[in-house]
Amino acid sequence: MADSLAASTQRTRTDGQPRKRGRSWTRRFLTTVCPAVAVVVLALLAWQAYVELADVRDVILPPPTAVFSKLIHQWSVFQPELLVTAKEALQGLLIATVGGFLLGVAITSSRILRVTLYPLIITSQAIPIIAIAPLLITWLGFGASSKIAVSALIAFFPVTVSTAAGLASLEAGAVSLMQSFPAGRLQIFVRARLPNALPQIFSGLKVAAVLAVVGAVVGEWVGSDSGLGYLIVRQNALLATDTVFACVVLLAGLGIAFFLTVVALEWLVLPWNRT
Amino acid sequence: MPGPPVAVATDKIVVDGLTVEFGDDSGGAFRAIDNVGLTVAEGEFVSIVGRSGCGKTTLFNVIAGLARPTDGHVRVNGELVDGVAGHAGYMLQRDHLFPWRRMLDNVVVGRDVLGFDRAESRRRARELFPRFGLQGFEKAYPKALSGGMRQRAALLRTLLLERDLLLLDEPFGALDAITRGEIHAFLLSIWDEFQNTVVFITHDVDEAVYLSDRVVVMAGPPGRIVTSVDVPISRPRDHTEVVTSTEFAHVKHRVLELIEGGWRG
Repeated sequence: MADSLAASTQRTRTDGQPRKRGRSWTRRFLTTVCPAVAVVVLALLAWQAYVELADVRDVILPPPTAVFSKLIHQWSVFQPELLVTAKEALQGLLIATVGGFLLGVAITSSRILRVTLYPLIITSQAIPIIAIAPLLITWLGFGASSKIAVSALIAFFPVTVSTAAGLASLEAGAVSLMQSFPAGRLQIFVRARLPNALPQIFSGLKVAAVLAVVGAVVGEWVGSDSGLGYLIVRQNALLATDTVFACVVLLAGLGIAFFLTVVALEWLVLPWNRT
Repeated sequence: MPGPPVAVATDKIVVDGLTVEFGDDSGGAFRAIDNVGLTVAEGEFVSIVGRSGCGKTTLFNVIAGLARPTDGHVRVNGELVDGVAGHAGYMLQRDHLFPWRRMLDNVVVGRDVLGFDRAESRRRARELFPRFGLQGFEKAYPKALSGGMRQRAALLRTLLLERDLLLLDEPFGALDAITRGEIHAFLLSIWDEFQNTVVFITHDVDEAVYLSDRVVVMAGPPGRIVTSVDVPISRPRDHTEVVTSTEFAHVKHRVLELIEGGWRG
């Protein structure tokens, strides 16, 4: 009986997909990548058309063609600054990931830690980062460490919140089941709580990846002698709007690259959660 | 009310004078179970029925070692159970299959936790997959399976711990009627084969009468046992034959009467 039951369900349910859509890679490319690219291209065309038709001065709004030609022709100027910012943001993100995760574990594992740490964590986010950044530069110096600190400080929060929420989301029944084996606290954590929390932790990491770039630029903005944030401040003062726009394009690209890296990592680490 | 004398080899579970209280918000105590006594024989299939909140699950959790008695005691195989788990297979209404484990790894999670040889556990599980209607799904993730298949997998996970006592808390409550009928027949065939003692909690009286040797009726709160009713229907039990028989109707009538009456023994 059971076998016939399995046979009858097998045909309809093996792929676990109730609806058939976007199964092949070409199909997926056509339905997700193309519309996104099309919107960007359309926006750039509109921008170019507006600048040319309204005869806007380059200092106010340079056309996309000018921005991209700047990027290409002066790549040797942008490349080292991009690398500086990317490094700071990456290190900030790594610290934020490890620190944010550990804080999330701490506040879900003990009541004492929760009531003592939570107010501090919230306070760290309630203070505008721009107000602490000058202090961090005073303490940590003009170099990369102060930018890494700002980046980590701004990016750890979503990791902590998502970790805490994810760890707490294991159903009571699953805990009882584990206890019945019996499994201790550590076994329950490693085999059930943590894997169950991973999708939520990755959601937090995606936010953190983008914020890490923002944090690095804020740090550079407040005081530095390198990085894209520094370049923006300098070139804006010189009214080199095309260079500023080029930096903005690079920063957007950097944030997107960080985000997509986390998405790819999630795809690799959570094969069971792929959609 | 003493039941008819049954030829019992050994008592599997002895619950004696069990009282369980939980602290409530106002600092007082909520009595979930009040002075309950219950004996389950080796190899017996006993159902516990009663309204929601009558303390069935608390009794179940104390027997499983997941909750502690406030007073009285529970013995399983003659040994005192006092908040220590690990002697019973345990299954709930939700299957709690882990979405990140493939089916073959899911059904051996208990054995992995207990540190059994991983390859050996998987070999045993693989052998039983066809019997549980799961063949071909060894590498699938749980989301690819239907409700009935998932619940059979949860039952396999329970049986792979090789415990001679099974505690099942409304295991089929979330299934549709047809799937439930199929899995009942399956459970009985498995029970016949593995010879476990089963304590089965449900509020479906049909299910309780069809499956069990004895139906224990609880009332509460505070939870107490009203009485237990023997089910004098021979095995193997064909579902259609049994549920349309006069004996079945008779026992069902008696059990329903007891649930409604509460104290009327």
